[in-house]
Formats: sequence, structure tokens, C-alpha cells
Amino acid sequence: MISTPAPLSQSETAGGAITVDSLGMTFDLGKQSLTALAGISLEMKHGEFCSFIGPSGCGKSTLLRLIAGLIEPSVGTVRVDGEDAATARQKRKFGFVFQDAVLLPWRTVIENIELPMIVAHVPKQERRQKAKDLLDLVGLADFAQVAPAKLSGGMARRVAIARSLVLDPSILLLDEPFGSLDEITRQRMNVELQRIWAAERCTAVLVTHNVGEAVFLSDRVIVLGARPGRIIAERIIDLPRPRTLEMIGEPRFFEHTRQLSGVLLSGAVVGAESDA
Amino acid sequence: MRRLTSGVAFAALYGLLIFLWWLIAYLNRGAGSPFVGPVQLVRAVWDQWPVLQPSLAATAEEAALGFAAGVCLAVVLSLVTIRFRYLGTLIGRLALVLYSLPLIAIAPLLVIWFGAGLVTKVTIAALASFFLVLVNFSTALVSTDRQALEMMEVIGAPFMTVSVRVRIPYALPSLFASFRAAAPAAVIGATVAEWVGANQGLGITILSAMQSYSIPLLWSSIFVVSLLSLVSYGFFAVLGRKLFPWHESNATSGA
Repeated sequence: MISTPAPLSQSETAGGAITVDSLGMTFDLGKQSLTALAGISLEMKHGEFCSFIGPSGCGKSTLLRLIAGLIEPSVGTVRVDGEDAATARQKRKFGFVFQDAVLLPWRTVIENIELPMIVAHVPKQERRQKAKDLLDLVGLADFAQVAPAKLSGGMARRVAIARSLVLDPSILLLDEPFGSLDEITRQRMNVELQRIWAAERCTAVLVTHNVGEAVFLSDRVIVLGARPGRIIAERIIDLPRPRTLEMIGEPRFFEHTRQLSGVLLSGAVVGAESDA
Repeated sequence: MRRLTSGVAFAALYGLLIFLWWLIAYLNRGAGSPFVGPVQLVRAVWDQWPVLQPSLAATAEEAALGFAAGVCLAVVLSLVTIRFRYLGTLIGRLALVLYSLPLIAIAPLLVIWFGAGLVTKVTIAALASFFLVLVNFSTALVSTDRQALEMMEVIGAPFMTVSVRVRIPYALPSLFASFRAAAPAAVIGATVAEWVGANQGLGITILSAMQSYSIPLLWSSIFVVSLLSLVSYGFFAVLGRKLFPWHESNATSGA
């Protein structure tokens, strides 16, 4: 049973909805096969910010790539606004932010942001303006003509986020985008990301192994267990928005992270037992 | 500071080598000595220049044409491998077999086929440079950062766009790096080809100098052909740095 909202609701609600139904992914490794994900079913509402957390090897990055239609599932379906994921990708519904910033080093910052628009045949005039607007949004207006190699890790991530938003995606997919940043920069980027997400009114799916980050950003956190990757818990984060860094010190924030960390830990133990 | 120190170290090393060279030549001085010292070499090159200049021009032309032909073929075949991986593997293996053939051994056959003219030299120079370019460029073309490819895929970029915008630019520094090795290889190829039969060229000058026991000419020919080889390397080293200043520093995008 797939609940597709009527098209007319899209004008009122931002973002796109995602429906994942009994999704499984098995990789063929020659003699062996590896089941990365099994029996994943979930619904994401328009405009929701949803996070997947889990230990490394739980298939959370694979799940994100399945949602983006970059790989085909072994079983089950992914539907985005009622269409299959590959079709949604062809219609450029996704913005994807990778673990690395993956900026093309021979293009300047603004040229990197313009690249998706070149691929989408956006007229030149419009391209420049849109790229400038997005640079403004991520706070890098003065860095348009700079080479990516000159940027710090945090700045490179901002450019990557700007690039992912340039074709007005209805869904933003984030694959541990701040994983390699230091803690202070990471927190600052989280505040930025929340602001950008609120401004763009898109649906966001974040993959992370950082519980605090997941709680800070999300409306809902989904915990994945390892081998095979499966949903072991789900928690609604009812903290008011916009969230501030001060909130991290509050008991209600701590309660969320404590609960989720507990589940993660028990999931890891179960995973270890089933391994033996 | 470190750069300065290494510069001084290099200068000292070269100074020492030139001194040793001079010393050996000095200890073996006298009429008919097979050694030529640094100063005598410079004078010999100056004196022999009317002979060396046309030889250099001939060898350089053969090497350049052969290099160009080898590079063109290697680049085209490498580009084919992006689309047809399996064909790429086959081409790679065939090229390896070809590369394993000693050029000096197949040169006589080529002379019989094409005569002792330009075609033989260009073919051998092309063979010498072809493999290095093929292996480096085709490997670089299929080892593009996975995330960069996915980034293009997410925005629905067609195959050609991905190739032109991402795959090929990412592989260009490797292509130019392979030129640094392939250009001297073409010079060696051209010189070797001349040994088997030629009217002019540094290879033939070396050969005839050896046969006539003309020590200064032999040394100056070796010097000039080495210089040609070195300059061809240096040209592409500098060009690569100028064209791809981002190459060594692009690690930052992943930091």
C-alpha cells in the first residue's frame, strides 16, 4: 500500500516524499554474497528531516544510494513522489552531498556550482545569478573566483551543499557530509545546514554515525543495525526549531542522545553475537 | 629553507660528479685516450656542431613524429576503453606483448618492410612511446573518483558529458606525466632505429664515430642525444605543472 499524496498538495508542502518498501540489497562478491540491507520499510513525509545512524558497515550509505536511484535494489522498491528512484533521479529531484566535497579542482568555486546547471542546459545568465544566490546562502559570496584547493574543509563542504541545491532538488541526500571535519566546524556546519534546509524547504535524508548531529538536525532518527543492515529503532525528535547550539547542553537533548546511543550499543552487541 | 638545502645538495652532487669525470679524464689524458673531460667536451661540441646540428635535427624530427603518432594512437585507444572496458583489457594485453618485443630486434624487420627511411624510425619511436601513454592514460580514465562520477549521475548527466567534464580532465595530469617518460623513450627509439640503417641522425653519428674511433665526436654525439632526451622530459614536466597547478594540491577537496 503506497500512500502518494495528491499532486495538489505539493504546492502547499515543500519537498518530496519517499516510500521505501521491504527493501533489500545483496552484493555478489564472487563465491560469497553480502547482504547489506534487508527488510527496510519506511515513509518520509514532504519536508521532513530524517537521519539514519548506525555502526560502519550497516549499509546506511547503500540505503542512501538506493533512494537516489544510483543503484538498483535486489528486492523491494523505492518510490519518490510515486515514481521509482531512477526516474526521480533522471528528473533531477535529488541533491546529493558526498563524504568528500568532490569539487572539480580545475574549476573555480562558482564554476563548480554552475556545473549541474550546465548539464541541465540552464541559460548562462540565469546560471550566474543562481550560483551567486547560492553562494550567498552558504555564506561564501566573496569566494566565487577561488580555486577549490584554497578552501578549508568546512568551506569546501559549503560549496558542495550549494552545488547540490542548484537544480532546486525536492530531496537533499547527505552522506556523512561533515564526517571528516573537526567537532567545532561540524557543529557550525550543522547550524548552517539547518538554516539552509529551512530556507530551501526540501526533504532531507542524512546518513551519519554521530548521534548528536542526527538529534540536532532531525525530525526523526532511524537507527540501523549491522549485518544485515535493518531498522532496529526509530525516534521522533520533538525539540523546537530552529535548534541552537545551546540546546545541546539541555537535558531533553541529552535524553534523546542517551536513548539513541543505548539502542546503537545494544544493536552493535546483537550484531556481534550474530557474527559469531 | 628545505628547498634551498636540497638545491645546494644537488649542486654539490653534480659538482662532485663533474669533478670525478674531470679527474678520470685527466688521469687518462694523452693522445688516443677514450676519455674526454668536461672542458674538452664543450669544445668538441662547438667544433663538431656543423656535423651534429643536422644529425640532431634529423633525430629530433623522427622522435617528435614518432612520439606524436604513438601518443595519438594511445589516446584514441584509451578513450575507447572508457566505453568498452573489455576491449580495453584486450588492447592493454596486446600492447604489453608489443612492448615486450625488444625494439632493437624488430628494427631490422621494419627496415626490410619500410626501407631505411623516415617511416621505420617514426614507427620505432612510436612503438617506444605508445605503451607508456596507453597504460597511464587508460588506467587514469577508469580510476576517476567514484563520488565525482556519482555526483554527475545524480544530476542525470549523459555518458559523454561525464567523460568530457569529469573523466578526461581528471586523467589529463596522468597523461602529461606519461609524456615525461614517453618523450625520452621516443628519442631512444629513434636513435636505436638509426643504428639499423640511416643516412643521418645522432644514432648514425654515434655509430660512425665509434667505427672511426673519433672520440670527441662520439662523446659530443652522446652528449647531444642525452640533452635532447633530457629537454624532452623537462618540456613536459614544466608544461604539466603549468597546465595542472591543481593536481598535487587537489587533496584539499577531500580534507
